Amino acid sequence: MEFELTEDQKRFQKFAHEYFEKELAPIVVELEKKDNFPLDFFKQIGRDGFLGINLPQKYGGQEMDSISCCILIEEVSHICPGIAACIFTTTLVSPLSILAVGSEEQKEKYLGPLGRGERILTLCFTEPDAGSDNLNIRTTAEKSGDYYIINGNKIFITNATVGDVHLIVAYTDRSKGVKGLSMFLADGHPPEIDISRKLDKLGWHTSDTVELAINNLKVHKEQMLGPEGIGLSRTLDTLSFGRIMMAASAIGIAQGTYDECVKFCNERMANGKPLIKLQSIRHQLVNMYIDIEMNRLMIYKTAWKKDKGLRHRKESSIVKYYAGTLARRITMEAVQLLGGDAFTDHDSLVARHFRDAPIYTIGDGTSEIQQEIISREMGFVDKKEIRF
Amino acid sequence: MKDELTEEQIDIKKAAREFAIGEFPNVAKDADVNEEFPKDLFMKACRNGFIGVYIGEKYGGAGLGLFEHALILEEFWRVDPGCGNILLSTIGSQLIQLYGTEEQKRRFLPPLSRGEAIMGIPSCSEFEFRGDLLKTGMSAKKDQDNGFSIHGEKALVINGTLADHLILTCLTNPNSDLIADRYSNFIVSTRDDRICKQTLKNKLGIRATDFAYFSLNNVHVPKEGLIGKENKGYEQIDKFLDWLKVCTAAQGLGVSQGALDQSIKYARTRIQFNVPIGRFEAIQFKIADMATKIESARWLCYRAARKIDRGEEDKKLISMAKWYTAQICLEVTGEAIQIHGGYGFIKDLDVERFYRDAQSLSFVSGRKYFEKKAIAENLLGQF
Repeated sequence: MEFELTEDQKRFQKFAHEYFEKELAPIVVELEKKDNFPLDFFKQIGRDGFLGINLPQKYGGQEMDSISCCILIEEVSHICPGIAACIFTTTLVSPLSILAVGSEEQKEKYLGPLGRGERILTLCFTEPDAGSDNLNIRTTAEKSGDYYIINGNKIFITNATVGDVHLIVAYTDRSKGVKGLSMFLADGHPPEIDISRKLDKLGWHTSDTVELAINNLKVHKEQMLGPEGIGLSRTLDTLSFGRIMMAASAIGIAQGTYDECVKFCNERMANGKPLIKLQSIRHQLVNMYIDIEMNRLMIYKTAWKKDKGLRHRKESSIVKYYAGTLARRITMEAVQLLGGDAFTDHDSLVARHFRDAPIYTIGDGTSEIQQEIISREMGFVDKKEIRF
Repeated sequence: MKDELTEEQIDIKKAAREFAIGEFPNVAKDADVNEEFPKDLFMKACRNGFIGVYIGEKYGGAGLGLFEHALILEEFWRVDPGCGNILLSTIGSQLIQLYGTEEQKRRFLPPLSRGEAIMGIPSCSEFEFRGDLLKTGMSAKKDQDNGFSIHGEKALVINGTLADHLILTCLTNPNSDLIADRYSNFIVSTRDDRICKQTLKNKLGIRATDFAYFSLNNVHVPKEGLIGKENKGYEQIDKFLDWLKVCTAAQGLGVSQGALDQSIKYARTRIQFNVPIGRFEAIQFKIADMATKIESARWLCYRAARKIDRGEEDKKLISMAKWYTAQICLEVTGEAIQIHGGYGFIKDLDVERFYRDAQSLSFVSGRKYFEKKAIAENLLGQF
């Protein structure tokens, strides 16, 4: 067992750190205030080689390992978790579904452009009545000759405003339950995909989240991803990786917030001495540091398992649950510590991280759902009872 | 000690709740987004007698205590903190009520309950970081006619931009060995050319509440503006902070209860896996945790308020009420977002706003660190 990053990973970490400090940190407040997907910046980081880094070289990727993905997402999340989310949802996670079950034509068509940020993929799964209960979706894809007609309503869909590859999850046969669940890839911005509104959120302002309706969207059977009734089984590994990415982003928030707290405690004086000289304050910082370190190790272990081809659904759920909880706790402590300094600016780093943190225990499976998944993986509950 | 509310207190609480439920929802979201003080709502609250209930009847108030004021504040914050802060329009007047001359009381108090004037005061004391006291932002020197000339800066003044008068603590006796003898409090009119104010925009929470930064450039205050005895400002502020801490606790109680109310409603109605999510123990136990925390905070807060009204000083209890309520408030409002899932994260619902508003309680009237120090010092004594 090696507990050090490899030389390549260290180099990549340094490179990513310096790049985003230089390119993102000076503009992050401006991007946050715009409150939409930062398309120009996204394309820039695509050109500079930060998107789709885990895709095979055959499709234009760099075949970087999962730990490197964690490193990238953490570095970006120190500064702007919303943009980190854009990177991993569109280019590191969802394309894996295409890689896993797509036809060769689909892989050739989509993976390269997605990896370079030339096209943007949005996953259309969640619905108003189907959040945690994701199998309760109502969207249907009715077969009609060589086509399918898709109808349904989706909500909390990330980046559909700029997405031009929609990965739509729908029932081709609801009576079969999960074995009647299928996936489709729809191109462009067809009028049949009607974005009814962009949702105003507490955080993640650099990522668009929308409500949309799919009205009689006609897709050719060639646009189906994988076989009809593919269900969730082949995509659960993609979901697992999504959870690792969420965990890495949450650790980035925790780390960024912790760094800011240390800085504050070194600068702010009390009784003529910096706050950090007070025992309770330094103990508080120490405890933040310990939790971040321990969580990060577990995230790296999970990423390593994935790359070794080992089953890692339990670990993915563990890290997502724990890192999310940690991000919420540390950001809450930070606002208590910084007090007025955090309160006075909605877009200051600590205030932003405070607002971004809550999504990490909710999106990609709530903490409660993660505990159910872990229960299933541990054999505490029957597989048939928990399907998500 | 009687632990039940009196009939009158029950009526006041009920009336406050009905008013808040009836009036706040129309205004709350926009007031938060646009950072607007809800003036019409404020005037309505004045007409309905909610503003300044602790002010003596002789001066236009209801002659009630801190406890009744806190009950209203709790019910208002339960529906919306930003709107609920219309009750802060009289902030600082406690000092005039406690230490002012008859002339000061007759001049400054009556317009407050009628909504004809608003008062402002810095939300946290520089006394917090004890070592910085001598560098307090503002000082006052005697000038002509036994008046004073005030010079300096104050940050985070509640109601700053809207206030007709501010209560400002100034260093008047820097050479005293005793910290407690160095300060005086003044009532200062904001209508003076030598006063610069800058509204604080883009706050994280309680965005409908006005905060401002002030700079005073040798502003003349007549001797009638001094509150109580010269150089006795520290003990005045100390007493005022006791009040403010209990009010802060009441605010925390209110928004926590509001977050819990909404979580219970959501748990009963949101169907996933064919049942309301309230059927799952994961959700049930969150509700139980939240309710227990709120109930324990409520007892701390109510006991502290009652003691102040009885004239019993119990700083330890006040500090406990303040830090504990501010702490659980963040936990409860955070958990409320969690219970609401994705919907908790969007501005359609109130819970994300409650989470942001809750954050303000961490620093108003004192940080957790100082409250805990005060409790420990009280219990450990001198040794």
